[in-house]
Amino acid sequence: MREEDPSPMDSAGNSEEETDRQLPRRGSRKRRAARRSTEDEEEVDTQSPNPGRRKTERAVMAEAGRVMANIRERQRTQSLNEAFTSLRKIIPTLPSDKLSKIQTLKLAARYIDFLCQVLQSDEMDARSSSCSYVAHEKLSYAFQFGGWGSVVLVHNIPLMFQTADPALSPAEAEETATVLVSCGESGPLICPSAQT
Amino acid sequence: MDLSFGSEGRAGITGNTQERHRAHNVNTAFNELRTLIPTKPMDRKLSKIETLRLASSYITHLANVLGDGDRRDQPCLRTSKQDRNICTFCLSSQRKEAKDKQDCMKLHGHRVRQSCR
Repeated sequence: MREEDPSPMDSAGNSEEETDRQLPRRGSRKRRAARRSTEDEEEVDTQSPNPGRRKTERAVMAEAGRVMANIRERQRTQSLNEAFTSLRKIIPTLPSDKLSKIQTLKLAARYIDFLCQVLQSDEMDARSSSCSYVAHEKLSYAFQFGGWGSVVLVHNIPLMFQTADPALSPAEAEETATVLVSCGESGPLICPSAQT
Repeated sequence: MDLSFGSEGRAGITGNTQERHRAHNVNTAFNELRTLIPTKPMDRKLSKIETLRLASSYITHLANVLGDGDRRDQPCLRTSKQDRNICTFCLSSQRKEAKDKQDCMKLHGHRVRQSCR
């Protein structure tokens, strides 16, 4: 039974993280393990210490190797998921909007792009005016014309995000209102909708 | 009744094809995210785990920079209380700024140093 794909691929079609070069030819290992019960039982292995054993040492090693590979893959997937969780935490979104993997990736890209844009325009204007306030101005401009959903505070900066939920809850709006006011911002930025 | 193209069968798109499309979309999103993260060299290919982690730290870094409006003194270090956390983006922008100053001085001499921020 030949495997058409010898290396273990996860659902995202990516085996680049499987860096273990010590397992030779996974395909053959899998095949061997699959036929272990029929073949190796009958095989009298003269190399093993006890030639009369049912399972040869090779079969045991193969099985252990497979188990190790499974564990490694599980750990790899776990660390990947943890990284996703960390990314989700810092992306501005309502807690009720649970982001899928694809959503976090896309939203992260948009968010980075957005921050860079703000930073660039901030930098250009910083030479003629005081730095910190200009960032807020650019954000309010983007808010009016950029088609973002609503405003929350992230990292002490009033920022915008796009969510499935069009309006802030009253508690959420209140919270941002308080902090925005302390930053010296006026009312219009708190406006919850303007949903495109 | 199988259609003659691809692996589409009677049910339309088979589960396997669907999964492949989904996975392909995820990979595409990964690649797009990769392009936004500044690396040395710029075309260095990051693994999935690397893009996720670097994206997190880059977003944090940008947010810190925006908050302080100044990239010169490693704003990320100021925000986090531990000295152990080094922000690679703070360092590389510092280095870039130093290099820009150097290049500027080479080109223009000492007189216009200020304008080449």
